Amino acid sequence: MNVRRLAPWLLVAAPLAVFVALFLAPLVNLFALSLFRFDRSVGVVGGLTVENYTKFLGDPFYLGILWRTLRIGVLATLASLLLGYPLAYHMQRCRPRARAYLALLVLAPLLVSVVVRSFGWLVILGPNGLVNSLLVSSGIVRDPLRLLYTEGAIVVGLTHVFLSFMVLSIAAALARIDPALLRAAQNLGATERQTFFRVVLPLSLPGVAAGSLIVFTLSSSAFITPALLGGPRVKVMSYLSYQQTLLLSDWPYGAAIAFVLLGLVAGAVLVYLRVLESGRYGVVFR
Amino acid sequence: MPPVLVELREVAKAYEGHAAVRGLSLAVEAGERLALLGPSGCGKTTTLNMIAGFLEPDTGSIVIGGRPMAGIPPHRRDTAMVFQSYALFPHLSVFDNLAFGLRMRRVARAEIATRVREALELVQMAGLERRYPRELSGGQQQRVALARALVIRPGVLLLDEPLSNLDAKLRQEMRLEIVEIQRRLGITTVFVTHDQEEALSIADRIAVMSEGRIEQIDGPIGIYHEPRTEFVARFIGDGNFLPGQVAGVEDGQTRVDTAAGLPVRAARGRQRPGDAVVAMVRPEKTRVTLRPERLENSFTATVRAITFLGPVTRYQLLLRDMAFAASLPDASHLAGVEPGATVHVGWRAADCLLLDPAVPPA
Ligand SMILES: Nc1ncnc2c1ncn2[C@@H]1O[C@H](COP(=O)(O)OP(=O)(O)O)[C@@H](O)[C@H]1O
Ligand SMILES: [Mg+2]
Repeated sequence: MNVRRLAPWLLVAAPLAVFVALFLAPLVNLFALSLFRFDRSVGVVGGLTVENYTKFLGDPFYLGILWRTLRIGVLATLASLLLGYPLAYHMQRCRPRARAYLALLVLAPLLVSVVVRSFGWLVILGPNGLVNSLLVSSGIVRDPLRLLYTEGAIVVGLTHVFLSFMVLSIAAALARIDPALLRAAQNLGATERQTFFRVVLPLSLPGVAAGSLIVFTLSSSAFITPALLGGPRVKVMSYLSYQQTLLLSDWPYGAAIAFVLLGLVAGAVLVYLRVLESGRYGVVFR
Repeated sequence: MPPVLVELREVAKAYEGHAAVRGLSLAVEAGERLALLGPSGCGKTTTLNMIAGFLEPDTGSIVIGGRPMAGIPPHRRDTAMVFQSYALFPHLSVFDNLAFGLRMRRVARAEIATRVREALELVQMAGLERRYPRELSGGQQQRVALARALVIRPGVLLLDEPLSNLDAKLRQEMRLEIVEIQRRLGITTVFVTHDQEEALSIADRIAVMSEGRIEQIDGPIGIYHEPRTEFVARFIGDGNFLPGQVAGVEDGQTRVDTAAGLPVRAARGRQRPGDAVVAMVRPEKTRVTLRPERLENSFTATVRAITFLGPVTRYQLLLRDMAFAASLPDASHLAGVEPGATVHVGWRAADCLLLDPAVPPA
C-alpha cells in the first residue's frame, strides 16, 4: 500500500485510538463488571452471571425508576420539540443578523455551568421561590405548591439546556430547504399553512429526528440536573447507578443498571428511527 | 387581435434601494409564447416572480385576465411556474408532485388519477409515477416540473430558464417539445431566458430586456432583422458596429460619418442630421470580393484570418483600423486569398441598420 492510500487511515488513527482507549475499552470493562457478583463482606467476586440483570428486571421498584427515567426523557424531548420548532422556524425567517443573536440566546444556557443553572431553578421553583410567591401573593393558591423535587422540575431543568440542541438541529434542517419549494407550493395553490404542513414540516423531519435523539439520550442519562431538581426521592437511573456504585460499593450492580439504561435508550432510538423511516415521508431520511 | 391576458403597466421593483425592474410595461396576448430575453441580472426572474405573485411591485400594476393582481397572493393567481431548479418536492413521488396542485384545488380522487396520467403522457413520462425526484435524470425532472405546472390547467404558464440545466442535445429536443405541447394546449406562456437561440426558437414574440426595462419587443424575425438599439443588435446575433453621426438624409438613404472615417450609407432611419448613431451590418449581409462591386457601401480591407465553419466561411478583416467580420456561405471566388491580402468588402444600404447607441447606465 502506498502512502496516498494510507494517509486517511493515519489521519483517523489518533482519534480512533482515543475513542478506543477512553470509550470502548471502559465500556467493555464495565460490561464485564456487570456480569460479576458482589458480596457485602468480600467485595466483587469473579464468575460470570446474569444475576444483576435478573435482579433489576424482577424488581418493581427498580423498574419504576427505569420507566420514570424514560418518561422524563420523552417529556423533555416533547417539550423541547414543542418549544424549539417554532423558535427554529422563526429563526430561519429572520434576517441573518437577528438570526445570529437568536442563536446566541438559544445557546446561552450551555454557557452556564449545570450546577449554577440548576440552582437557578431551585430558586425559582422552591417553596419560597419566584413561582410560589407569585401564586400565593396573587391568591391563586393558599399554600405554596411542591414544585421542586418532582419529575416536572427535572423535565423543566432538562428542557432548559437541551432545547438548544433541538433548535439548532431543526434550524439546520430548515435552512437546507430550497426556498423555491415554498414558492412552488404556493404557486400550485397551497396557502402558507398548507405549505408548512405539506412541504416544510416533512422536509424538516431529519432535523426533528436528530434533535429528538440528542435530547432524549442526553435527558435519559443526565445526572446532575435530576439529582439537584429531583433529589433522592425522585431517583432516575443515572442516580441509581451512582448510588449502587459509589455509595454502596456494589460495582457490578451499578454497571448492570448502566447497561440496562444504555440498552433501553439505544432500543428506543432504533425504534424511533425505524418508525420515521417507514413512515409516509421516509424518503427524506434516505 | 387576440385579447390581452397578462398586462404589466409601468411596473417597478427595487431590492434594498437597488432597482431591479424599472417601469416595465408589457402585454401578453392570450395563447402566445412570449420570451423575456436579456443578460443575467436584467430583472427577468423578478418580473416573472411579480406575475406569479411571489413579489409585489413597488409601483405599477399587473392585470391577469382582466383582474388587477394587487394584494392577490400566489395561491389565488391563475399562474403555474416551472422553476429554473425545477423545485420538485423531494419528499413526494412523481404522482404526488403532480397531484399536489390538484389536491390544493380539492379535485376528486378519481379525477386526480386521470389528470395526472394524462399530464405524464403529455410529457412522455407515463409509468414513472412511483419514482421520487432524486431517481430521475435532469431531463426527466424537467418534464415532471412541466407536467406539474400543466396539470392544474393554469391560465398562464411561467417558465424561468426552463432548459438552462440541460445538456445541449436535450435542450434542442425540449425546445421543440415545449412548443408542441404549448400549441396543443394553447396556453399563454411567458418564459425567461438569457439564451438568444432559445428565445428565437421558442417564442412568438421576444421582449429584449436590459437593466430592468424592455428595450424592444417584436417577433423573432423583427428582433433579428430590425433591432432598434445597439443593445438589442449586440445581444441577438453577430454584427459589425460602426459608431458615428448622421451627416445627411437624401434619396431615402441616410449618410453616416463613422468615427473610423468611413462614409457609410444606410437605409433611412428615424434619425436626423447631427444625431449620434451606430451603423450596423450583420456579417452574413456582406460581400467579400477581389474586385470592387457596385454596392452603396464598398471599401478595401485587409484579411486577418479565414475560418471555415462548414455552412459559412468567416473572414476577419481590417477595415481601416477596425475589426470587421464577414460570413460567406460560398467563398469559392476567393480561393487563394490568404491572410494579409487586400480584398473588397461591401454591403447594401438596405442591409445597414441605424441604431440608437447603447446609453451607458446612469
Ligand atoms: N432577493 C434579492 N435581493 C437583492 N437583490 C436581488 C434579489 N433578487 C435579485 N436581485 C437583484 O436584482 C437584479 C435582477 O435580478 P433577477 O430578476 O434575478 O435577474 P435575472 O433573472 O434577469 O438574472 C439583479 O441585479 C440581482 O442582483
Ligand atoms: Mg433569473
